[in-house]
Amino acid sequence: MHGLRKKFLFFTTVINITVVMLIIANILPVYTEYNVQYDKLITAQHTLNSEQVYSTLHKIDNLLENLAALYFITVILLCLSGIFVIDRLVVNPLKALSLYATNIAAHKPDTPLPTKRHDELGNLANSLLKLRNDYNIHIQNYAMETDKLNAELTQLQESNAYAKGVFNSVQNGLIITNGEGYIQAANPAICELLHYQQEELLGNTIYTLLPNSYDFRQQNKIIDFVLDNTKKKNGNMKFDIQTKSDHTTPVELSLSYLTASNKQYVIAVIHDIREQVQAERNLRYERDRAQSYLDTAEVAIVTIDSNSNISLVNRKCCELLGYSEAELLGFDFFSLCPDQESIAELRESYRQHVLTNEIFPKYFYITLLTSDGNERIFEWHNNTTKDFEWNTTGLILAGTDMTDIRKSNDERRALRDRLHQAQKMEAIGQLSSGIAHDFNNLLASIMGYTELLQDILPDTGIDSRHDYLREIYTSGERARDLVDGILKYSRGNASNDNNLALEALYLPAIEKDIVSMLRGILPESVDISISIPNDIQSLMISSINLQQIIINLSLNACDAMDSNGSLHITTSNILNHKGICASCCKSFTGNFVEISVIDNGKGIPTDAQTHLFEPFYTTKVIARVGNGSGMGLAVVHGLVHDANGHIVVNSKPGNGSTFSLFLPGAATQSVALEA
Amino acid sequence: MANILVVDDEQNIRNILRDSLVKDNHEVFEACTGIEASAILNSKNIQVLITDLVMPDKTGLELIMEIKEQIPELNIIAISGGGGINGRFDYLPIAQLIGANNIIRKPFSIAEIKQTVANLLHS
Repeated sequence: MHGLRKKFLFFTTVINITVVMLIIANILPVYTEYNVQYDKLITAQHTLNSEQVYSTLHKIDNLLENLAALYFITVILLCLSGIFVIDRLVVNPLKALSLYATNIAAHKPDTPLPTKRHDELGNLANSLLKLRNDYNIHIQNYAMETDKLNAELTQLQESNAYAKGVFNSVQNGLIITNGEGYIQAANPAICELLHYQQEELLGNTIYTLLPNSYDFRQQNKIIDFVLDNTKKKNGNMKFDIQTKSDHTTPVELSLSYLTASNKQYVIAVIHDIREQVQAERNLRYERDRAQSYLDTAEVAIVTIDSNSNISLVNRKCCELLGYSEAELLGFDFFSLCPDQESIAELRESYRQHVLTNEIFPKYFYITLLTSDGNERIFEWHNNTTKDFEWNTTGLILAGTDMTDIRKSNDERRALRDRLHQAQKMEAIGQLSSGIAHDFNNLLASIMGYTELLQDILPDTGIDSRHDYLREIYTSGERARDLVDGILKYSRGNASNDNNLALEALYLPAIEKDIVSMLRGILPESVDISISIPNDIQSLMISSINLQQIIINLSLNACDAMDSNGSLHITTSNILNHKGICASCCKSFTGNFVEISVIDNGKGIPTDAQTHLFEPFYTTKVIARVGNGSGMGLAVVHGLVHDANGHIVVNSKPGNGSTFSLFLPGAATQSVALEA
Repeated sequence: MANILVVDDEQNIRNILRDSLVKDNHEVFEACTGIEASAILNSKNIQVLITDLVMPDKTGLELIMEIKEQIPELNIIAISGGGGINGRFDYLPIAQLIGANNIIRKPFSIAEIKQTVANLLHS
């Protein structure tokens, strides 16, 4: 049983007992009197003493009245005692608790607990106390939270102020729409650009801002671009925006998306690009004008960027290369050259020019491949283009098609070279002849006097002077052989009147002699083969001269093969042959006997080939008479031309050499054409 | 043993031929031009003529042709260092064609000269 009920029962019981005691104390005498009176009444009834009866009844009546009064008083007392008990036990504590709760509610956390009883009110008070303590903790937490929130609120307010400030002061137009495209906010810049009041824009859709001139598809494209944040945007969008006064103005739109309170918003930044568009128009106009100038020019004009990609090309260049402008724009200029190896240095030079401003050649020749696969040679003059910070941005190149000119120049140069070579060979021949004559006279003196001295000086076998004289004479003999070679060479440059006594030479008849002769002078490590058909025409050349020619060519071949390889000699009849002589540089045509001396040696360097037949020209390291004197091929030239023949050389470094002699058959004559 | 005329514009050649042939007891006359040679040939009884071919005023070839008309039996040895005028001709074979008994290319050996002279005198 709870304490309050206990108290209540206790107090009630005490009061009731008190009241009962009081009642008993009051009623008992009355009841006793009543019983006395009642007995008297009975007695009076029996005695028929009416007065007594009446007096007794009257007394009883009074007693009953007293009882009634007592009963009333008792009830009153019970009520009062009840009220008292309730007031003491319930109302007052409740009042105190109420006051306590009111104080707590009034943020007076230090209010003392009104009661420390152990009944329900005590529990209530304790609960209130706990509540109060919890409340105090919550209040503290709340205060802290509130401080924090206040700080955040302050920050947010500042941010909001900043954002508002930025929103209002930014030069670009800003419009915020919801996910459906309804304008939620617009900054002063966009209002100014579109001539709207801010409130006029709010609540409108972005359709309002699209020009009437745009068709449905154009409008939808822009709307999709703005509202659909699922698609990847490739850069910004440029379009015309409509002002309030139905004018349009070019803008560039960039977008960002924002989600707040589960709602999507689009933040559209609108750049006014009127100046930019105008500048682009001006630029395009200037460019078109420049392009028209460029297209008028009759030279190829190309600009390339720092990566050597073509950024501009004129009509003439397109015509010459056979490509359209669209095909050439963006194409790597140097890639048009079919021989990349030949321009590797130029390409690298350009790369360095861009990177480090290294000097780039002001003009150069390169060959470009046209669309139909032909090659054209261009002479390119160029100038570097730079940006405002003076960095190299590319080149502007003006090219002249030199293909025909170059070809013609090459032909002319080749002709001139041949003429020059022919003149040189003839001049050397004349000079050699003159020198040889004088030289032989001198040698005759030297050798003659030496012989005379040898006659005078007895050869005792111990006199070294005789040895010296012998050396002088031997040197004279070597010098004589050398001069003999010069004379043979020079004869080849003269109109030949020396073969008056020649007889036709049939090659198969001397085949064995040639083989045995070669076998005798060439090392065993050289394989020799010779092929002479029986129907070969006879030649008008002396056997000795032909052997000399073959010996000289074979010795050279042997040296080219480092004495280890194959030497092949072939002969054939050639009809209506046309060629250019490698030694006299004259063109020749006619029927010939071709004698080819073929080796598989190291070949002849290209730059050496034009000088091969010049006297004293040698590629051999050790120059000595008979081997590397530089007269071997000069003698071949002399003897072949002495026989009205010509020589053709085919040689590539690393691929061996073929010396082909074209000698007129005994029955035919070559027709020499002046170069 | 024989009168030999040596014609050469080179003094050294003349000296060598003279000294060599004198040793063989020949009488040697010298001329340095074709004109001088003609004069000697007209005045002396020359058995052998050794002549150079390229000389000033009169070439050896002219001299040979002239002599062959006047003294057809004269033994002629043509000597030359080779070459011809401007290198266009080799005179030695031509000299042989027009009448030289022998041709010897310079530089010659003395033995060859002596042997050739001996052969001509004995033929």
